[in-house]
Amino acid sequence: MNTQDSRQNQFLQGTTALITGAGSGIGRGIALALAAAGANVVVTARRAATGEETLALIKQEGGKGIAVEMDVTKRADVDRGISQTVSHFGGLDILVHNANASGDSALPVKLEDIDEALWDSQARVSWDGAFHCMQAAFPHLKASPRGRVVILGSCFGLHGAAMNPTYAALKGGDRGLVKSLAREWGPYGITVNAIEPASATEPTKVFFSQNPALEKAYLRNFSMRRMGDPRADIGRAIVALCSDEFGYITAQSIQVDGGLYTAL
Amino acid sequence: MTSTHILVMASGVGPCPALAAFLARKPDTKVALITDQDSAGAKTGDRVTSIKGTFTSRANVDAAIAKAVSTLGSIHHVVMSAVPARALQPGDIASMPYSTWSESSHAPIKAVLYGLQASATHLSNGGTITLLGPTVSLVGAERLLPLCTAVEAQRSLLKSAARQWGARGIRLNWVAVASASFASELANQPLPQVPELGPPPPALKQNIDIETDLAPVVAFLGSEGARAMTGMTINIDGGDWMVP
Repeated sequence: MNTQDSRQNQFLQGTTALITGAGSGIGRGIALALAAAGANVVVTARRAATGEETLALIKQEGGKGIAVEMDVTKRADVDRGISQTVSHFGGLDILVHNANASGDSALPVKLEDIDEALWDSQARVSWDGAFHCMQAAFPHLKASPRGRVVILGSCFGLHGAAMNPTYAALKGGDRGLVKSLAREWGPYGITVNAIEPASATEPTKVFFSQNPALEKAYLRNFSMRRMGDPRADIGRAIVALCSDEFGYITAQSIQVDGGLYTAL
Repeated sequence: MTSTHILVMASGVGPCPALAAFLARKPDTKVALITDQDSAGAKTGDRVTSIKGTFTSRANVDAAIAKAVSTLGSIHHVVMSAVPARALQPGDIASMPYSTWSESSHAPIKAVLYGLQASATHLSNGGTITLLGPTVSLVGAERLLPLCTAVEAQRSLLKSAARQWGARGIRLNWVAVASASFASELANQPLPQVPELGPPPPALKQNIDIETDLAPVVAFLGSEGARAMTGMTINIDGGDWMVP
């Protein structure tokens, strides 16, 4: 097992976690971290090849999992993914909805230029994906002694990023979703939280490679002067949130951002 | 003294039609109301120009605003809310039909998106946009998940607009109205309460009066006195939720 996870002591041993958008970036980091913590990991990705790559990395480290080709905008895909999860591992304890419309979150957009097609292309992944996953996963999370839902949010939703209003609105909406779902599913022992990460994803790297001065200025805003690593910083925070130690935390949007957004 | 021209857009339920009537009572103020509710226009009185419109596409909103501009001449302040009645009907998310989810979450955020876009084209010399929503979205509520999702998204979209359009002299602020006062349908629902032991004592009062409590604040936000305020969330709930 990777040494960076050695302190995690297999907190999630015996649990099964499904991660959407786990073929790259933060999703892959989360999948690797959860597998290293002992979870059976269901790597879902719209493109089968990327999911298989993540699964191969998990298996290289001795982790357990399966890869499922799954487009979260399609209910039939999601139903199939959940069904395969349950038939393979006997249940589902942890749902992590990380999938985003690829690359769009880091692209500057003028509010005037947002049309219905652009909105739908992102909302179907972020919101409808959450809707489909919630509905399909609910009976299994309810049956689990430690049901967990983690939504990947963003501080863009808090401060209303000028750069991308679509992304800001969707992530702001996620905060309302998380609080409401936590209240609705709390009686079943299911916790629901959002993680709001600041992580160096591929689109972020591309953006900063084209705007190095902006990167330098941006990093000054981080208390820790660096962006997070998808696995070591974001994935392990989610491991903690899904562990028994954090079983009484719900309805929260937690900044995992190295001290970037400090207005709360 | 120059007159103030206010465009009020009311999609679905909410206090905007009544608010339009109270805003129109101020001297030197002209108000036009665009609404998709058949009965809303009748509540506003003869000081408000009422226009039937829909918020289902940018073209529809553009057409309705064009009619309002033909009456007002110009627009200084836009006031809007978009909460469909269907979103106030409680339902378990686990068994909710997709159509309910979509109409209660996607539709209201799109209505606000189109409202903002269409309004901004008529604020070339700057101006103010004030959006309204119920306070319940700030804290979330079981069986009202699409509503809380949509309203929080509207609030974040407003912040983005405030950042993008500030340099053009356009200010945008959010007013969170006590839920039961925003829509009577929310009055009898088991919404979350402030975590006090026992019934929480109201800091001021819990019933918000649109004329005396809400309209003056909205009017202030449209005035020069609020010239440095943008992207703000202002709770008009009598000191119920004192959010961080």
